[in-house]
Amino acid sequence: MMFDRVFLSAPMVGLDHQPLSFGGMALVGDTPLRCWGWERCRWAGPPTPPPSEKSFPSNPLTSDLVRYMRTVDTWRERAGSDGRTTDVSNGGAAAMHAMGARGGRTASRCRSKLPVLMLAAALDEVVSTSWTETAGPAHGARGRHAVVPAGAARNCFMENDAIRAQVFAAFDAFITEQSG
Amino acid sequence: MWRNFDDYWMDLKSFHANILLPDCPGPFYLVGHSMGGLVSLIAATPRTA
Repeated sequence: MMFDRVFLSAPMVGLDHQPLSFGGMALVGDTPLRCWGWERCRWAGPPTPPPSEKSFPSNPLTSDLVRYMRTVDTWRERAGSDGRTTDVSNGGAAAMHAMGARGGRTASRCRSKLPVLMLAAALDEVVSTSWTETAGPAHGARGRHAVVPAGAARNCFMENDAIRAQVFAAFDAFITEQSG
Repeated sequence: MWRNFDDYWMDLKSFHANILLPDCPGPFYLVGHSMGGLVSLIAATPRTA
């Protein structure tokens, strides 16, 4: 085995359990991409305003304003004169196309033999939290875990300190348990 | 240039063989978020491990 333990945060699995089927993945994924101003992606509709403090209330990624704005600042530094980040857009487009083309079938075949900890955000709007919480652990032969921090949006590592503390505590417990 | 989904898996395998193994002692913990989580899950399956 290449790795000894695997820690997954909001993995792109169980998408068929979302309101849109896996075939509509591009539409689901379009939401966070738009949030960061990646409207140049080929599947996107009308352009949306660049991310800013105003877009924070409707963003699906984090409930932490400070960390959200740090990312917005990074985005602004990388944006071109037209306010867009072409390299990121192209990467996002490739990733979403890959997911739509094969990700679902790949996920359905995965039967891990390694200890796996799956972390899902309770308020995730992109991937299926319920799938990760219930069916997800069944995909691991051992070390079957699932943790769902309450109040967390999609990017748990960008959340407030209380939620991040839950994430790191879960990771520490997972490593300690499997190492013992 | 991305060609298909297995390219992500090949990138990970290449990183493991050429960067991780030569310089880092195990154990190895793989952390993946979102689509990286799916790539990590693929890496953990017997089919590709």
